[in-house]
Amino acid sequence: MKHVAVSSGLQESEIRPSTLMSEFKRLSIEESQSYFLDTDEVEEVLCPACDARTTSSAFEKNGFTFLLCEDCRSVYASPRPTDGALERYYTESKAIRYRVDHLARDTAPARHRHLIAANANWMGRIVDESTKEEVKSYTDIGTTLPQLFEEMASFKLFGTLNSYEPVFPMDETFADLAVTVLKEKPKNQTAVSSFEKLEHQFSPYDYLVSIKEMLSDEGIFFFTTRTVSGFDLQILGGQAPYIFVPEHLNLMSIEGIERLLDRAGLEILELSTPGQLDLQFVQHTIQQDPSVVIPSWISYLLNHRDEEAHEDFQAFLQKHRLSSHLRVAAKKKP
Amino acid sequence: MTEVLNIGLIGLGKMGLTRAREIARHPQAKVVVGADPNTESFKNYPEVRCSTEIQDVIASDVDAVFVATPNRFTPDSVIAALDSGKHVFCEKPPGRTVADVEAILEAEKRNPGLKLKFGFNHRYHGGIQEAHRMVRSGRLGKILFLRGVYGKSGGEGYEKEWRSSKELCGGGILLDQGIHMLDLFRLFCGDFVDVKSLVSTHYWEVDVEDNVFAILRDTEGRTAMLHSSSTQWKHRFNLEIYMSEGYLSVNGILSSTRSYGDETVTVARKKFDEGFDAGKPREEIIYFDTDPSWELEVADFIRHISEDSPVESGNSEQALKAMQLVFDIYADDSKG
Repeated sequence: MKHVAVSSGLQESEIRPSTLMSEFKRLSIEESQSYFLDTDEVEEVLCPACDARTTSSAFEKNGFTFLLCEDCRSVYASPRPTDGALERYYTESKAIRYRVDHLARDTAPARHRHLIAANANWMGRIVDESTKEEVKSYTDIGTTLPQLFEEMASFKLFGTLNSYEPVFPMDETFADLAVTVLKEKPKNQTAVSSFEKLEHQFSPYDYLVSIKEMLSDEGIFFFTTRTVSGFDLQILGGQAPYIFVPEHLNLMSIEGIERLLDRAGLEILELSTPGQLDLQFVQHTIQQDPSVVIPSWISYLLNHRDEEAHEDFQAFLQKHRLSSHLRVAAKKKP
Repeated sequence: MTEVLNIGLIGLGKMGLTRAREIARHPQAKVVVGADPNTESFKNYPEVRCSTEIQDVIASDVDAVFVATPNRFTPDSVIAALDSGKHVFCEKPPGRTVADVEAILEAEKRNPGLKLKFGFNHRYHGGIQEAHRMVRSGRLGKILFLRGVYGKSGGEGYEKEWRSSKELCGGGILLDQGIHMLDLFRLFCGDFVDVKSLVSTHYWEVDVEDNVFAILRDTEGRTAMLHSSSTQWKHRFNLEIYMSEGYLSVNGILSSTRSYGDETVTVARKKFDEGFDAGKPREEIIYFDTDPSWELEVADFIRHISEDSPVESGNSEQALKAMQLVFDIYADDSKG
């Protein structure tokens, strides 16, 4: 298997400006109290990665309990909002509207430069390598940054480009892109992508099975998500300010995700953690909240070593799959 | 064609053992007979009939022969195997001279139904295959130039190794190891028509070269620069491919000892528009966790025999042209 490391000089402030993030977080937490208040709207679940029952408490956050799976070491919210409650939240909430209208829009150039182009290159490379289909089709699920299609179109690799249930209104500024907005789930897709969605799902297993049904026999699923195996989440745990319900119901470990994909009938082609921000997340967290406790060695690294040492440390995390930003390409098992 | 190919193995040194391991893992092949001056080498293969005589393999009823001998013995072994009706897999380099390879190719022509494949396994490394796919995709534009460094440290007793003897090998580090880089240059650029070189023996007390610097120009005017060394105290493999829209760099090559480091491909697109960041583009490094080259190469050879399909990677034309480049490099230095 292969894995990938990336260096592009990405800064947290470019894609998560603190003012916008604070407001998004405030709205999310505030609305989660109203949307998921009713006991009918939350449900206890087994480990979403490996289905194990044995758990211990990981942390409490904004009224939600996060459990640690004793088997695969994934962390997850349980009880959690039901599928129906989540659907209503994602359709109606002000927080989601704010993410689209402000967070996504205002950070689009930086996300395009650092993330979108990279994701497109990544998908193009693997499709080139792994599929022989003459006419190739591509669908992105829940598109938040339509610039992705500019990049995908530039490869001239796919005959059709689709967006299924886009979050961003696709007809606004990207009318010239030959992208079909789908209302029904597609089938026989050469490539399907879903960026930063798995962590929101009530049932990641059901989500993956439904994606598998969209793939052609040679089809490949590309996704990114947050993994609790990564450095910043291992160091900060529940103190991580950007972890909250319903944005993060599932913080699965790498081992848990491997098992989940296997259970869902998908085989990993590439699994990497090309995150560039773990150390910055920790640094900014303790700067903003001095009460957050971290291991003294990490504190020493942050306070007594320069940017080059920090970049090298982050490169080490990527190389050894220890960043919390997980990127996976998986194909349908025969 | 039998369902499982019976294989004969000539030479059971390091390379022969590697091939034996891969043949044993392949469901369609098994080693049944082998020859090596030291029959003790076969102690882990009790089912193999072993001999000190190459002729015992040639005269056997095997379907194919793997030749992994010092260069001096390679052409005769390959030619005898072909002329006795066996498919042949031959380790590189395919002899001591261009004439050796030409003689092998004559034997191949005399036996058109047989497969002949040469062991240029670097073509099967994950990093090289990835780089090759990227170049072919055209996403990084057209190749401008190549720069390759391939070096090892020699080590204690290097002077006494058969690889350091002109009599046994015909050349030094360039013929032994640098030929892989030349083969890769050809994989990416095709034929080279101009050669400039400096060939030297500065450190090791051997009658072959320990360092070669060469600049080659291909039919389209593109340049490839090579440094092949046996005084590279820290082992190094690096192939840079600079293209009109970006670059690729294959660093390290996975080996059993990992002495060439991790095998990675670094890829980046050029950036002219980022002010102070110009010259520091976003890089992506792809790590390869395993080396499938030996397995894939043996599997390809067996597949070509089973399917009666032409050898694509490591065929005789590629072997001849790589060998010609080696000797063009030697010849250019002699002019000076």
